[in-house]
Amino acid sequence: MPGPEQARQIFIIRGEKLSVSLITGLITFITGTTYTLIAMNLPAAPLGRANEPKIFPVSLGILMIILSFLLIAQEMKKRASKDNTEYEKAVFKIDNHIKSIILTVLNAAIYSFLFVRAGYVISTFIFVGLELLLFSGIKKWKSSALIAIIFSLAIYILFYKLLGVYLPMTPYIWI
Amino acid sequence: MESFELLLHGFTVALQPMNIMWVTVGGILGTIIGMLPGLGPATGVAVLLPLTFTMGPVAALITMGGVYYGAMYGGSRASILINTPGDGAAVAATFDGYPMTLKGKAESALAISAIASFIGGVFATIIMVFVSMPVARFAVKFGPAEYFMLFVFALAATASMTKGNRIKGFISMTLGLMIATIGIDAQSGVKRFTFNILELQSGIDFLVVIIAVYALGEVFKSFKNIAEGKKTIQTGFGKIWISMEEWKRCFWPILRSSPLGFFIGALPGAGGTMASLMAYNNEKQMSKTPEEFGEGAIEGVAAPEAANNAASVGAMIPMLTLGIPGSGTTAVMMGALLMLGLQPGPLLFQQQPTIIWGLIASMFIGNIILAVLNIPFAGIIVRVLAVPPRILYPIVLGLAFVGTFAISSSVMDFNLLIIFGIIGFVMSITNIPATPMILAVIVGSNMEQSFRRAYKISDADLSIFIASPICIVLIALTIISILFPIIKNIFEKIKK
Amino acid sequence: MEKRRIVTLIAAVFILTATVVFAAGSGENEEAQYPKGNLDFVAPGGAGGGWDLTIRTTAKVLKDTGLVKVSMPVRNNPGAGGSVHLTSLQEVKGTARTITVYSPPLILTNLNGTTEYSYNDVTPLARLIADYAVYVVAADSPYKTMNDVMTALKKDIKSVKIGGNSSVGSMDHIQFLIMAKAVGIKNLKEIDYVSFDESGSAQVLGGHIDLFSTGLSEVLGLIESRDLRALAQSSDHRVGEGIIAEISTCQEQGIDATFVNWRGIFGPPEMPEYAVSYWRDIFAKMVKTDEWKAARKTNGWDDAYLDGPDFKTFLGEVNEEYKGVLSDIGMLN
Repeated sequence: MPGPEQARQIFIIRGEKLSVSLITGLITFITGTTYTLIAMNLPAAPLGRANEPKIFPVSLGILMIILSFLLIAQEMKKRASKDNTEYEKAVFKIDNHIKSIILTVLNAAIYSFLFVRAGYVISTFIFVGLELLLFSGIKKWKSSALIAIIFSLAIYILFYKLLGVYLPMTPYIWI
Repeated sequence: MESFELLLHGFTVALQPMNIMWVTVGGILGTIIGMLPGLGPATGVAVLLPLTFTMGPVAALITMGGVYYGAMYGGSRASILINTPGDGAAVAATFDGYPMTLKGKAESALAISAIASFIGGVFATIIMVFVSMPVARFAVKFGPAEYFMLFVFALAATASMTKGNRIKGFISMTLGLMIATIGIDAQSGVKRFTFNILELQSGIDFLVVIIAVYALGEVFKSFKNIAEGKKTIQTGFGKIWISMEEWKRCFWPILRSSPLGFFIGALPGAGGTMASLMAYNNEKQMSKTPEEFGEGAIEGVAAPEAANNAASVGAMIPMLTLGIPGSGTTAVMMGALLMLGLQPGPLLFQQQPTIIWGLIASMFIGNIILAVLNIPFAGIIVRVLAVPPRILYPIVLGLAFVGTFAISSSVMDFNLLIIFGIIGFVMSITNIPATPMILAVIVGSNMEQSFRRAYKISDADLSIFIASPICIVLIALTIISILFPIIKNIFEKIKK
Repeated sequence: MEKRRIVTLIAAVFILTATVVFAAGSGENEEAQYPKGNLDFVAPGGAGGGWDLTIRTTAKVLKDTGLVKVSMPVRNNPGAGGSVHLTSLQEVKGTARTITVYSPPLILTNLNGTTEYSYNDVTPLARLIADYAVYVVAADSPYKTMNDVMTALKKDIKSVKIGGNSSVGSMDHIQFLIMAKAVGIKNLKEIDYVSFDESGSAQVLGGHIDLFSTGLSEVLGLIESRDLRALAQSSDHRVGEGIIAEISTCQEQGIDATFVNWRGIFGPPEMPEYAVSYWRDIFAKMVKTDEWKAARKTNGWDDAYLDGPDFKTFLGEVNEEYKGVLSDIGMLN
């Protein structure tokens, strides 16, 4: 059955070792179950066969649940064979780069709030500027600001002026 | 040899200096648009819509054609260099293109991409000259049941061909199909998984998912790479060209992928993504060294590149011969034709031979011009690898968001972009491959709708799915592609 | 502590910008010089579609004839059959810059529950053109007239599979049901309607569906080449030239109903009076120009001009008619 299986990776969370495949299996199981439940409760079709809109989603949900069992079973089998040598490679720890990711997501949320309200050029300057600071550190704020302003203006000219793609404008300044 | 004479006449049209200029302008514009995330050929052609009012019909069509295949040339640049495809058709170019870049062979990857695109485009145009009408007539034989089986085949092949754990490949595929069920169900009017959000009613645009998973995914990964002290990928650059040995490896894959891409492109609703992924799967199966695929095998770049360019030519067939747009891009082109007072349909070839054959001839010329332009252009663009990651990735992020906004002018898509960026990141740390999900999001809605159409037409009789020879062939191919690794194992054991 | 400083910076910039943005009201008085600056022409659907074609053509005629001197860039705001744009129009309530186009889906999406907003939440400026439904079959189909189809449906409601490009409960579906209702078919709900996404004409050509309900301009080429045969069209008069003019109306075949795919121009809700009268005047002039007549002919659009107030009355009437059909199939929300 198996395709080439990579060396199994593990999460280390507070010193506990958890196999990635096992966690994946659990996430898959939860996703599949939730989806199936919502799918079963979809409204009936007003005309034609009433259950038609549900057939495909419900089958997908069940397929997902089956796949999660298969994945967990595969993992258990390996565990039973005591093949623990593979358990070496730690790949995932909550550390600095996760913080950077969270900050990026927050920055993006601010961006989407400002995008229409403040207009493209200004909101993009802020977004890309902050992201550059995040990558390069606060000391390089001058070059970051310069790159951010060049980027937002250049894209504005390319998209809005040359390609005619609609972008929101800043109130009063009208760029 | 009537086609041949008409084609010669077409060349006299396409070779007029103004028209050569238009196809060049269109090609360059298309290349640039293709490189930007979110902007694909459909946007490029739409940008030209207002201009077509002032151009003649021939010039307008030629320019739009140039944009269309120009975008196919440009689309894979970002895939190869920074692993961020801007469009579905460019996804397959990441599989081996990016590993080649990581191995310092970006120049070869870019060169083979331009060369394969060129051959794919020209090959497909030659087929179009002779058999466009028969192909169009064959394509209408694909009813809902046949489409469903085609989608099943493409998905199953992609899921079982991906590297690593195959169960995870199928999980990824199922997740993609789930995403595709979001929106109003066209066959019943029922809202599914929309959670009363208006923007979700027309479903999630697959481009948003592509940009999120790849572009945001790369940015997230880069934090880790920078933290681990990884530096700029490449600083010295060689010539954009390939060696004789590389060419030999690519020759047959290109020749096989071109007609495949052409035919998939000619099916309304299938398109360049399906074409390039099917070509890739096909080459991986036929290869003597399948383990090299995904690690930087040059034929893994050549095959999808040839296929997606050929598909862009094929996609024009149902539009021109039947007046049926098979993709977003051809729908816009058809709108342009209508605005110019032309009526696409079987009579267009007879009523407007100058326009049609002028367009076909311009495809030959346009592909030559693009190939010539793209080699030196690639020499410039490859230098993006010398940009320090701390500057490159914020810019990629900025491009990802503006590209997303360009898709539907909706800030709501930003939230989706962020959500799918996170999903993509979780998938990458749990080793779930992204490609099956991407393909499933692209074809999922069409696949379910095809199933439901067939189900309705047959009055819930499932035998419609095995009723035609086309269906049976597709089922056989699906079974083979799922069982292929097992069959191969058995053969190897017998050999031993 | 670099991270903390960045966070502080984010917060500072954010608060600053927010203050500037919210301080910006929109209390300008633009009445005297209207229209000034860029107008915002919007197609609620994708590029190349019917709405897109209509609004781009309108903008071009207004520019070419010099009726409107300011620039009129067209953008697309697609989604949920035009409902996404309808929602964004509510955000520019009372302003005068946005000009948009709608057709029957404006009413249908409200009735079938896609959106809470209706034709009362936009300002009708003028109805401009009409296209008609056409019912086509493959060249070798046994059906020769609409009545053949209706007789078959009466005998066995599942025997004819109807296809269209719009989703269930939207235009292509309703325009067929209106005819079926007129001949007295009761169980409209039972009629199988299959929704295709743009490729419906390929499906009827390939014989996968029996009848394709669509717009006349969608299948002109295939009718002219005689690959598809039109059973009837839904106007109250013959339209077009040549083979198109040979298509009889449903009324001629004894089916007493019509369906008009009207397209009109709208402004945002509560558009200021000066802007409304400006556009009513402009469109009244525009429809008389040769440029407009030429554009209509190229696109095969019938003239259907109605001034704003009459248009509003008309919208009320069709709203009731569509409501009847949707309630028959249980899709009224």
